[in-house]
This record gives sequence, structure tokens and C-alpha cells, in this order.
Amino acid sequence: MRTLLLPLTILLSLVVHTASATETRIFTDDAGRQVEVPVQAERVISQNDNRLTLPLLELGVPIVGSAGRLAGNGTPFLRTVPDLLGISLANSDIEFLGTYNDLDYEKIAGLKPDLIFTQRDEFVEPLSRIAPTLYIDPNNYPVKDGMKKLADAAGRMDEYERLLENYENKLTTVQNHFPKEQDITVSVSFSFPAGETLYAYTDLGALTVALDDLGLNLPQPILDEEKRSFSVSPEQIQLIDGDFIINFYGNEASAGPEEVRAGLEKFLPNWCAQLHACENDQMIFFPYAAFGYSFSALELNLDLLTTHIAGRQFTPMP
Amino acid sequence: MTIQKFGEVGRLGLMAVVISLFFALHISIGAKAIPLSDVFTALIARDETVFDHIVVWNLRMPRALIAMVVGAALAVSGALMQGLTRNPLADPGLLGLLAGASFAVVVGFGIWGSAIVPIMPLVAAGGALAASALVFWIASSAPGGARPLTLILAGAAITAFLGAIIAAVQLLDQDNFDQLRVWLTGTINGNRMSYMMWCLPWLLVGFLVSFAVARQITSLAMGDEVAIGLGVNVAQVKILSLIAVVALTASAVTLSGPLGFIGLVIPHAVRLFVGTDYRFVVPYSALVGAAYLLFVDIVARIALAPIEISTGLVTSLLGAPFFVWLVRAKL
Amino acid sequence: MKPDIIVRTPSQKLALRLPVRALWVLLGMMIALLFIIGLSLMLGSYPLSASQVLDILWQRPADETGTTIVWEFRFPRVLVSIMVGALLGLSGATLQNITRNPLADPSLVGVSQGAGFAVVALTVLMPELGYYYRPLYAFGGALVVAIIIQWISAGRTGSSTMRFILTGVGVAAFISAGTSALLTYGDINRATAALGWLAGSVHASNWQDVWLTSACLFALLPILMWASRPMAAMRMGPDTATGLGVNVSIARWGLIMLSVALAAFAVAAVGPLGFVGLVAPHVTRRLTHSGVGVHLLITAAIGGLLVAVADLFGRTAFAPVQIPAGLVTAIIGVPLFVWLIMRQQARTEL
Repeated sequence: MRTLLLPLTILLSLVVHTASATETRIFTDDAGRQVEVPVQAERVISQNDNRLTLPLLELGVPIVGSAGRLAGNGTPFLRTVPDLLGISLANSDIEFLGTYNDLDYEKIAGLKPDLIFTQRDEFVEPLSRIAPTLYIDPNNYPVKDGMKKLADAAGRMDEYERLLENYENKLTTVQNHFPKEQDITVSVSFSFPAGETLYAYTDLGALTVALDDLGLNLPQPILDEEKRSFSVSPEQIQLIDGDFIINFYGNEASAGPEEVRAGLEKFLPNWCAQLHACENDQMIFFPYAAFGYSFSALELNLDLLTTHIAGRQFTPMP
Repeated sequence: MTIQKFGEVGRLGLMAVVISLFFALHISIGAKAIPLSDVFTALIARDETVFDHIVVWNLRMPRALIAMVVGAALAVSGALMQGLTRNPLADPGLLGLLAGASFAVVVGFGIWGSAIVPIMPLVAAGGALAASALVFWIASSAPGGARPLTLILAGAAITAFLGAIIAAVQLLDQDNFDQLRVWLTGTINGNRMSYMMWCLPWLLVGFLVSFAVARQITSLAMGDEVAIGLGVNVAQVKILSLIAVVALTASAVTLSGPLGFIGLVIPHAVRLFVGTDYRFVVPYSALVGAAYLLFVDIVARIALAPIEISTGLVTSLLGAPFFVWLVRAKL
Repeated sequence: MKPDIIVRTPSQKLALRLPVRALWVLLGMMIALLFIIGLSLMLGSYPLSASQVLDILWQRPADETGTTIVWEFRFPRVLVSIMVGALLGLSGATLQNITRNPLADPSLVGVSQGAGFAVVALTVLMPELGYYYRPLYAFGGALVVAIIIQWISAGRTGSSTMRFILTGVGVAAFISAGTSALLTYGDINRATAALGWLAGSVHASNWQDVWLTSACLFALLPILMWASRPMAAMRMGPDTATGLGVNVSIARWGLIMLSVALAAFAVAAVGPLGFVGLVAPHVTRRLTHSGVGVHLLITAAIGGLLVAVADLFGRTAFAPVQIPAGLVTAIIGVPLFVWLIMRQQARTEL
């Protein structure tokens, strides 16, 4: 499949290069709408920081405005973008457009965009009054496919090819550090310091793809679940057990690895003793940026997984 | 009012049997399927290394205990409020106390984060007190004074107002709000046991004061004049009852979030069996409230298993029709 | 005392007694509405001067972005706000007249919650049905709730006003619990979409919404004016109304249906906006005393004004962060409601 696609995308990127900025073409979005978009967009708006702004910026798309979130003290920020790309609202010209569920349409119109990305179908109608709007929900695609879709939509296929090649080179190097024949299970979980809920993931964007590329598997009980993520009752905490368990820190400044651990203690007193991975010190805390949806997040996950798992003595789960 | 010794013992025995039955049922079911025999083994021969025993002892027992305590606390505070306001429709939820307490907790959590836990009952009490003061002030400023309708409308107004502000916070700070989303619908969770030690003094004060003022509430329920005629210090009883109501409601909210209608339903049910003497209404409300919330929590866990519905939704779904029936029957 | 103007149709079937003061108030409200429309067209994250707005409105060559913002966003948005406010105001006024209770409001007695539940249920459980049928579900949900409340509260002897409201409060609590269950346990993305709508937001209103809400308003308004006579009779109590030749039970049901329809279409368009139906008729009553017909017209204007102001505040106060109009109306409406509870006159049978 790839051998077929590669020449095709190269051909496409050549077309992109020769086209001038005002030319348009037809792109089909996730809802099957045929949208007339600029061949290479120059003023782009994004409705979701973590799922759209991050990958688009990485592809070199000029983002003029992005929705984001508010920190507890009211300052706006873009989730995972500064951590992975070093770009923030403060150090760039990206305008804050409100929270990702309630956009300030007038501010968007004032920025005179030529292309808008949203991952919420119901926002397409109001946004398309301003500029061509594409509904693409990256959650529906594995990261590499989603990046390709976005690159195609924004006319940045050459940059996509470069990023993909970098990643694949890195992957081939790193893959050698993992034992070939051993079947290692790694589960992915998330919890807050408050310790009210614990989530398990069957699909968590870049991390899931990196695990897959390295030949690491999710534990069977989790693979059996259909939802992308589900909340786990403390009584069933052993569902998430595996050779290794990954959890996250840094969702907010006050949520360090220690606080997340303490939260799990509230969730289930003496939780660590119930999990093989934790009891054998095979529970790992990743930075929240690993949640990102981009090649940089993929590479970060490759590095983290290699550092923590490859070439290490560990007690396999019985 | 004399109650036959045998009848009293019989009733207490019945309650003890009902509560033990619900308790046993409560700890036998849950997200993880544990055979009854294992639950029994866990109870008689506890082994800290067996996870099933930990589930029974550290998750289900605390949850059952919290359900009982919260059910008793809300039922007693409902009984006191009904007697004190001579209003058959009084309830900590309907009169805005639960909304005030939860709002205070949400705000406190937003500002101080997890550091708020030790003073959470205090913060909740502040919210409940402020909300109840506001509701009573509004209702008693209305022409005709604090009647059932004005009290409930004032309660509804305060609840709507605080609800709108919470909704705004929720829209603005989605990421962090997720962790409070389930709690705000009222949920019983064994891991809140760690909060119990902070709530215990409040609960003790609340229950003791309630039992102490029960006799005077009976006279008060017949009208302030009657009570004064019987030598009751009306102002003192009212203040003490308010302290009890606020302390009990705040502890309940801290432990489980807002659980509506328990304070309304239970005292009415209790009065059907023990009459209007609050010396009986108050303690029986505590017992029946404990049994009722155990029952509701069982329903919440098996109705849509393996999904656990939050308990507050079940108390509302069961309690609201009762409220409607009460309106139809009593007014 | 100024003379009243009396308008009659030749057959004398319809007669409107128009007190002059009330007409002045109505005129004042119309001017206020024009003023708020003008203000809404100018203010926002992309500020425009009055002359720029005029240029855009007269289609003189102007700033293209300004044209998009005014024509595609601000204009439909302020018009939808006004229509929805008018619908809710009329619904509340009708409800208050039939129940003879000044505290009746579609959001207090469960009608809005019924409409909201129906829409949330369909958004979360059957998203493939699309948003276009919203008015239909909303109307269905609201109607079912209204019938239930009416059925429960009207069963017994004696006046049922207080029972009606309290039953509404109980039913509203029940339905809200159901809605919360859907939001908490439904698919998170669909729940988020439903949550935004539930907060009561006119953010994305377009011309289609304008046509839809105004069609509802202008279809129901004449019926309402026609019904103002039985409504005036109902306001004097069921016995008087019967004496005046009104079939009380038919009039009551008809008017409740009308009130439900008004609220349901408003809720369908923008989500439940609380307290507008409560506040608007009261403000009207404080401004002037008039017959039911003019009272309804002024109420509609005030309802519209209220929502338009709430939305203007919500979208500009913390821009670019947007506060849904429904939250603003609740935050403005509740203190007014409280004041009403404290001020309500003894003449109502509470």
C-alpha cells in the first residue's frame, strides 16, 4: 500500500509547489462535504489546540488564531503546544479565540482566515460563513494518517513527508533496542491528583501508535474494550495491570508524579500492592505532552518508551 | 404519648434486621464479581494479601458505611427542618442547602485545590449556612411569611442561581472540572472514607444536638405560641437545630456530594409509623435514612451494571415523584 | 385620565381597548429594541462605528470583514435573541394568566426541562437524526411534561395553582436528573455538544434560525391576541370566567398548549433560557396597566430586550471567552425573581 501511495503523494506535493496562493481545489472532509480550499492556506484558524493547532503548526501551517483553554487563574493557554514545539500564545502572534467549546466568531472573522479547521461537526455551519471550513476529527485516525490528512488539507505534503521520514529513521534505530521475541504488555492509564477516577485507554493518539510501532502490546482485557477510553472502578483496578503501566503527570502545574501517585492512594488504599507492575517498580509516569497529536509527540513517546523499557531487567507479569 | 415496650423493641429489631440485610447485600455486589462465599470468608477471616478481601474491607465496607452515615444525616436534618418550619416540604435540597454547600466546595476546590480537604466540611457548612440564611430571609420577607411555597421557590431560585454560576465555571475550565463532574451529581464512593475523620466531629455534634432538641421540636411543630406556653426557649431551640442541620448537611455533602430528596422522603415515611413525636421521629429518621440510602446505592450499582449510576441521580429519580405525590396529597 | 383608544372590527368580534399610556410604553420599547439592535451591531470583538455599520447595512462598499460580521453573525444573532426572548416572555405571561400565579415560568414548572430533556436525549442517543428536528422533539417533550403536570395537579378539588407550581418544581427535578444521567453517562463528545446547547446559547444563530423563530412568533402571536379575551376572563378566576361565557377547561387546555408551544420553539432554537418568561411579564406590569392584548405585546418586547442585552453582555464582557446568554439571564433573572417573591401581593392565592 505504501509503495503505491508514496509516488502519489510526491506527485501531489509537486502539484502543490507549482500552484500559486490564490488557486483553489476541492477537499472532502470527514463528514463527506466537498469544500473548496486554497491550494496552500496562508491564514489558518484552529478550533482545538491539542488535536489541531499542534499538528498544523508542526506541519508549518501558518496559524493566526487558535482556541485554547483557561488555566485556573484565567490565563489562556494552548494544551501541549508549548511543551512540544516551544510555541505559546505569549511568544507568538497566535491569537486566542476563546475556549474550544465556545468560540468568538467575530474575532475569527477579524483575523481574515483563508482556511478553518474544526473537530466538531456542529461548528462547521457558523465557521463556514467566515472562510472555507474543514471538519476533521484527528481522534478518528492513527497519528500518522491524521497528520497526512491535515497536511493534505493545508497543502503541506512535502513537510509531512519530511517529518514522516525523520520519524521512520528514528524508529528503525530504536526498534533494535527492543527484544524481538519477547511479548511485553504495557497499559495506558490516567488519573487526577484528586483520586476520584481512573481511566484506561485503548487508543491515546501518539502513545498508542508508538507502542504499536515498537511491538509493545496492550493487556488483553483492555484490548477487549470498544471505547477509546473508559473509567475503571477501584474494584477492577487489576484490569490495567501489565508488565508496565503508564500514567501521566503535568496535566496542571500542581499535578506532579508524586501527587498523581497520592491520588491513586486515595482512589484505592494500598493500590500499589494490587498491581504487579507497580509492586515491581514497573509503573512509569510520562509527561502530559505525550498526549499530543504530532510527530514530535510520536518521537517523544519513542524516546520515553526506549528509556524506560528497552534493555531493562524487569519481572514479567505471571 | 406512651409507647408499649414490646412495640418499641419490635420496631428497633425490625430496623436492625433491615439494615443488616441491606448492608450484607450492599457489600456482596459491585463492579468486580466476587462469590458470596468469598465475601463471607473475607468477613470472618480477613487476609490482607487477597485482593477480594481488600475489595470487601477497603472499598465496599467504607462505601456502605458512608451511605448509612449520609442517609442518616440527611434524613435527620430533613426531619428537623420540617418540624422547625412546620413545612411538610422542607428538605436540605429543596431549600437550597445542598446547592450552597456544593457551590462552596466547588469554589474552594477551584481556589485552593486539594489543600481544601481538611476544611472541606467547614467550607461546605459555610455555604449551607449562607444559602439557608438567604432562603429564609427571602421567604420570610415575602408577604405572609415563610410558607411552604415561598420557601421552596426561594430555594429553587438560589439553586438555579448557584447552578448557573457552576455551569459557567464548568464551561470555562473544562479540563479540571471533569474530576468534579461526577461528584456534583451526588455519588457515594468508598475512597471518601479519608474525609470521614474530618467530618466525624461535625456529625457527632449534629446528631447529638438533634437528639437533644427532639423533644422541644415536637412542641415547636405545634406552633411557637404552644411551645412558649410549654416553657420551651424557642430562640435557643431554633439556633441549636440550625447548627445541627448545617453540620449534618455539610458533612453529607463533603462525603457524597448533593443527594436530593432524602431529607424529604424519610421523615414522612417515619411519621407514618411512629407518629409526630420527634423523640421518635428523629432517631427513626436516622435509622430509616441509613437503610434507604443503602438501598438506593444498591439500585445505583445494579440498575445499569456494569455502569454505576451516580447515587444522587437515583435519589432524585425516586424522591421527586414522592415530592409530587406529597404536593398532591397534602396541599 | 387620558382617553383610551378603542379599536373594533366591524362585527365587534374583536375589540382592543388601548390605553394611551400603554401605547407610549410600547412605542418606547420598540425604540429601545432598535437601540439595542444598533448597539449589538456595533459592539464586539471587532468593534465598528455607527457610520461603518450604516455603510454595511445600506450595502455601500465597505470593509468586507465588517460585512461578514454584521450580516452573518451580529444581525441574525440579535434578531434571534429578540425573537426567543419574545417567545419566552409570551409563554410566561400566558402561563401566569392561566395559573393566576405571578411566579409561573416555563423554566420553573418543568416545561423548558421537558423540551431540554427531549433534545439532549436525541442528541446523545440518536445523533444521526440531526438538529433540524429539534423544534419537534422540544415541543413533544414540553407537551408531555405540561400534560403530566396538569394531570397531576388538577386532579383534586379546590384551587390548584400552588399545586401546579410545586408539581412543576418536582417534575423539573425529576427530568433534570434524567438529563444529568444522559450527560454524565453518554458519549463524552455528544454530551459536550449537548452541554453547550443546554447552557442556552445564541452564538451560532443564522438567518435560518431567524426565519424559523420569527415564523413561530408571527404564527402564534395572532392566535394569542385572539385568545386574549378568554385569557382576560381566566385571569379573574374560573368562576368569573364561566360567568363570562368562557368554557374554562377548553380555554385552560388551549392556553397551556399555546404557552408550551411558545416556550418549546424558543428552547429548540437556543436551549433553555431561564427566568425570561418570569421576569418579562412583571416588568411590563410595573411599567403600565393595560388590557391583556397590549400587555402581551409589551411583554414580548421586554422579553426580547432582556435576552438581547444578556447576549450582548455574554459575548463582550470577557471576550474572547464567551458566556452563554442562558447563564446571564439566570444570573440577572434570579435576583429579580427573589425580589418578586418578596414583593408579591396578597391578592394571589398562594
